[in-house]
Amino acid sequence: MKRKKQLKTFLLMVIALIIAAFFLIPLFWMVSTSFKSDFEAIGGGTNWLPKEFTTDNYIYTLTNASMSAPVIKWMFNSLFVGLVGTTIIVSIDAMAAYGLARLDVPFKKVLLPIFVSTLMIPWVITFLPLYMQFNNLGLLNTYAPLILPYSANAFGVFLLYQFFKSFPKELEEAARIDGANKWQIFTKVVLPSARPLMATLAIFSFMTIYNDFLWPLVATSSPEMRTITTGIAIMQQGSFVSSYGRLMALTTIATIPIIIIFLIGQKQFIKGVTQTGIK
Amino acid sequence: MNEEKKSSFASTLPYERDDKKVSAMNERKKSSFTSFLFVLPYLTMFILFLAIPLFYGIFISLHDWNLISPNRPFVGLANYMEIFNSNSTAHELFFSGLWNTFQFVLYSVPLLVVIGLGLAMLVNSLPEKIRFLFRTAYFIPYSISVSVVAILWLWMLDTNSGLVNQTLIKLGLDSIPWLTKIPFAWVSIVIATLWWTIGFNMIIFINALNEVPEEMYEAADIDGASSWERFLHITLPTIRPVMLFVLITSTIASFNIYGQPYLMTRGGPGDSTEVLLMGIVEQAFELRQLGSASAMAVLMSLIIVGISLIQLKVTNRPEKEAKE
Amino acid sequence: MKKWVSLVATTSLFAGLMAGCGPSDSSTGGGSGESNGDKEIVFWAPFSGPDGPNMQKIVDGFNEKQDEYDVKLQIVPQSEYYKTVDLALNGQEDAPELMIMHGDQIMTYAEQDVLKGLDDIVGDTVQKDQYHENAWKGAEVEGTTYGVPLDIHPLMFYWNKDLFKAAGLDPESPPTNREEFIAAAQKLTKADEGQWGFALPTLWPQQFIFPTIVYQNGGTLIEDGKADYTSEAVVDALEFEKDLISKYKVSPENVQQDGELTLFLQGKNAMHLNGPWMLNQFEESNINFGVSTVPRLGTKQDAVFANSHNFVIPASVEDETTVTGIEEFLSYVADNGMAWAESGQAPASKAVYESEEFGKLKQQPQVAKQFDYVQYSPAVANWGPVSDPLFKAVNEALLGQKDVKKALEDAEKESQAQLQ
Repeated sequence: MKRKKQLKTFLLMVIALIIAAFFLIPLFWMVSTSFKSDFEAIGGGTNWLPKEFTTDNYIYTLTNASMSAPVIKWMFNSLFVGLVGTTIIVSIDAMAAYGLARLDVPFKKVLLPIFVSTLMIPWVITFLPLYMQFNNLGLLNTYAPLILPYSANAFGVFLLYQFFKSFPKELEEAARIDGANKWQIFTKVVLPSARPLMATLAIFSFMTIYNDFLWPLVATSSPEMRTITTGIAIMQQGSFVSSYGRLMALTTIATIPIIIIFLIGQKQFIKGVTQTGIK
Repeated sequence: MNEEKKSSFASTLPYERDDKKVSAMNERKKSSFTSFLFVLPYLTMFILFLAIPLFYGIFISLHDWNLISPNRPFVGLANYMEIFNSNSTAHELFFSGLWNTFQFVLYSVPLLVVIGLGLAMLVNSLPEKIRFLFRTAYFIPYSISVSVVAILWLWMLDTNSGLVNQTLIKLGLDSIPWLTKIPFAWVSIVIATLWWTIGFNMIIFINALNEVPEEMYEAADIDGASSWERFLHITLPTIRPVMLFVLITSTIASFNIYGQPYLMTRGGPGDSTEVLLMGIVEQAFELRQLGSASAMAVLMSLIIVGISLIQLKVTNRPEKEAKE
Repeated sequence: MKKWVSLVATTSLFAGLMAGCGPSDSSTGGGSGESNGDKEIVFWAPFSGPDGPNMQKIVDGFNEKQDEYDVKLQIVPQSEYYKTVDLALNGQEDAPELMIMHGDQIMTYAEQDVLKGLDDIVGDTVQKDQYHENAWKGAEVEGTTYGVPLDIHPLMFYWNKDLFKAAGLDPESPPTNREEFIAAAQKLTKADEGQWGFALPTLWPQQFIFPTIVYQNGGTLIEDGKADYTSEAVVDALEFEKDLISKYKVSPENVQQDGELTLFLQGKNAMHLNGPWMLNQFEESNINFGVSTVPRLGTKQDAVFANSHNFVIPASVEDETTVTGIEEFLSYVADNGMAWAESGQAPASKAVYESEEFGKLKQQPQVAKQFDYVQYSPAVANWGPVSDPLFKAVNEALLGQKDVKKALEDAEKESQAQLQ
């Protein structure tokens, strides 16, 4: 019986390892190719490690190509719009959700259903008009279109609304008797308990902004305003075409930091998913 | 500054007042005004970046809106009629794009749900100590941006020099035209998509599985249920709402596919992987027909909403019946 | 407390964003301080590649030489260029006074009346005979000149000299016609080693290759404003391409996007057709390559498909001094365009391409040799989208998804629908 169980665990481990290979080999191949000479890289082949280890591709990418492909600036842009966008989303969503759940907001019976119903509206319908709107304001190719449109999404409001709705009234009441005003109750009593959920919302929002492709592609035009996602795509079709050594150096530079951030934040993310009540 | 804000807030609160001369009406107005301030920032964003664009989009779709020309006459439903007129380019662009998008949804969504669940169960059945290692390994690609994903797989699947085909050749097999022939082009796009996003679905399923009460399994064990029966009668019904969530989010995400075919196949071979969003972008920015492109976007949105509603209806029904 | 700080920080940041302190503004605003009464001429160009600094050199030269005008070069990347131009011409964003436009785009914009007719300028400071006569053909719409040529960029022929040597071919004399081309390609192909005589692209740059063969066959793609893809010249062109794969077997099957380029850079593809803009990348690679005029792959005449860069002026520019300044700049470019040649391109101005210095370059004189018989995209607006079905047909036929004639017939119908 025990033997059988051990065998089963062993088999499962083997399967798990094979699947892990599927997920990790492409990343390994990316890093390995980036350290090959451009000629060896483009030659393809199945050399797992570079014949001749070289950092030429990195040097080229960070110096020669830095005019048309300022990859560090792209990373900065992506992180910047991701962080600012996330901060905006989390703060305004929390305020709105609390207001709707607990305060005497006028028309809240109408507002909430309107917000929630827009959850169904696919983003594609607002994409072209947003382009025209930002153009009319002369704000294309600035950070504004890369940050602001995401904050209209009602997902966070809905998520936090449910939480605040079930938040024990007694705690608020106690604070009120102590003489706290609405804002104080919100920031001192309610928000701390919503922190894990807000962290989850933050991660969701960050990933959405960071990973978006089509919108930043049309909303920006100069190389220094690109996000990492759009910048790399344009290099692949432009002067890095078929230069796989350089392309892989570019993608490695773009990928490794975010994987590290991701590994650190992973625990919080997984904890957060439990909190969202998606179950 | 901070203190000032605090006091101004405090003075408007109904329960802190001792001045009884102020009418209750005024109080309520003041209170609801300060409450409204909580909603105001979001409401502003909502109006500016969702409500206005929504109506503006419909407005544009009713005009002959050429990007270069300042002349934009109202044309009523002409842009929509054009899409349904089988001789027009717009018709071809929309329906072939729609069909290709449907195909992708059809191929990817079941896999995203089933394999996501499968991975979750696999990870959960591993010894506790090493679980997190595998969970992390499967989840890492989710953090990578779509252009990196596409370039990576483009290179791995390169017909003549890619790692995959080179390995096949070494093994004495024929190389596969991953990106230039149907069905392989779809296979490649689906593989890249699974590699990229399946980890997210897995995490959600792992959480759901952990929520299934242990007692239910114990009870089943006593009844002598096989693991398949346990899965069918205990696990599945318990995680049904999560399945629904994953199903709907995966469907919507798959409908919005753009980056993978745009970067990997350029819509080819022919236009067999040219998805609807590519068609809309082409109509808007290459043909400069923003009106017609907006009409397509409106129709596409209606379709996505419709399908989400159907999924909700269909998957919710058995649960309701069970309750009744 | 902390929340307040972050909220205030966010709001102020937000206000900053709304005020539009993006870099695009600072770049336009920054320069105005130093201009000491010079007339500023804003000049847009899509040269985001290695060619950008070359254009900048020319602009700097002009700005130093005189002190009445100050030309400001602003580079908008190729991929975003026409989107940005559209919005500018539409009066929604500050339009430039001068910009670069591709020959195949001029028709589209001229039809919308957003470009200035240049018939007054040409013949004044800028003379027609300063340029190759074919350069003007790309800049004319119905008898009106809308652009002053910068360069013409036709399809080019590249070959791997080492592979030629190894196959017993003379590495200095590339094939010149269809027969020689096929014979050489067959000698150069070693399919079992993964080496190919001529890996044929199935997507880009077919937009240059396919029309080249059609024109060499003496054919056209648009006849009297109608799509005509079923003429013998067009069908033969596609059948010839297909034969390279299935009959002569000198190209691998199922070449993916840029696959032929990858093979060429790997040294596994002996002959390659691409634009002159590839020069930089080839020179940086390990390939011992030669460059020449495109062999006559068609059956009737010498011809090569080309596009061109032209200077155009938006219709909204009316200020006399500005126009005079532009004229002076253009005539300066005509005489001092050598810097542009260094980017691998061949300027269309005789002063440059007939010069001794130019003749010593490797690729550029080969480009200029083809000036005599270049042909452009058909004279219809929106050639890009109109021709889309044609290149899909080429793609499908070469990948064996569709029969040649059937693919072309379908494409003809689709393109025709666009033209109406």
